[in-house]
Amino acid sequence: MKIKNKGQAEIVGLVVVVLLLIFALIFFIKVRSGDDDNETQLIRANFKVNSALNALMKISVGDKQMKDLIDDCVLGTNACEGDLRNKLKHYLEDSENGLFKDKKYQFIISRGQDDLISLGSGCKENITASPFFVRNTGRVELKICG
Amino acid sequence: MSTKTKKGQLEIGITTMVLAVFIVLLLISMVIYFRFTYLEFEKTREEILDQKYSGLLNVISGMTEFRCSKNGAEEECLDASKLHNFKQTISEDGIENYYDNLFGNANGIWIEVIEPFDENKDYSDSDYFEIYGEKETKGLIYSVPVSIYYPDYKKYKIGILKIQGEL
Repeated sequence: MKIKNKGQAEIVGLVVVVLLLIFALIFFIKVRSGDDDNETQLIRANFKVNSALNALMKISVGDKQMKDLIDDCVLGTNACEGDLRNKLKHYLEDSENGLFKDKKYQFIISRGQDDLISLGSGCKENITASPFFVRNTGRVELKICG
Repeated sequence: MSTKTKKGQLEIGITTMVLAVFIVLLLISMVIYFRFTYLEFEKTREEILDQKYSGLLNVISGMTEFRCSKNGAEEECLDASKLHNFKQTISEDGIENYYDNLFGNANGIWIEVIEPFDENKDYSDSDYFEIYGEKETKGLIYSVPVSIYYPDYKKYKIGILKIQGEL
């Protein structure tokens, strides 16, 4: 009985050592995966979303540029619906040529507190481009989901 | 058989079992450890490539060789007339070495134009501008949207600046 007890004690000891090793491994993995360089990733993503908004604002639509159409929309000349919305939707999410055809995004044109045009679906975590201001009250925002 | 021999055999049995279990656990731990190290290595590699080529995308979109300007003032767009024939021009002028150093070991740099003009029969019809190397060779592709200006038509289009490269 004494020998059996000793054997059991050794097995318990071994289990304790194994558990300690597993905890050490988990701790090691956690520590190594937690030190991601999120800031540089954010800077790169920011560059991309800012470039996308700049390219979108500059694009020619007929004889005007997109920013001029948005300007008309913010001024309240009923230019927000129809052509402007369709063009924006086309350049943002067209299945062939859209900038965000396989990415979640949110594009908002607002005047003061009112959203004049809102495209795409929102997301909890996103990367926002520096807003494009139109007149004094108009604001264009582009966010891509991170 | 004496009691001492029995006890000795039992001790040897226990020690062997403990060693066997320990070796199995050690092997499993080593496999897990090396797997994670490998994944970490791959992640770091991707991160380095992403940093390197995102930086290069930033540099290219700001190069005076491509940048567009209106009335002498630079704008945040690329000039299609400068992009057109760029590769041929640097080859003719024998300044490829300069760009080899600048673009590092990128396999290809090009700009794809979204919806180019289709009836002018000149550079504006081109759906892509090759800047360096070959398009679609090997390596991962890093891209950023850019605005392309066609000075002869005074129009802007959207393009995707792409770099394909590896370490």
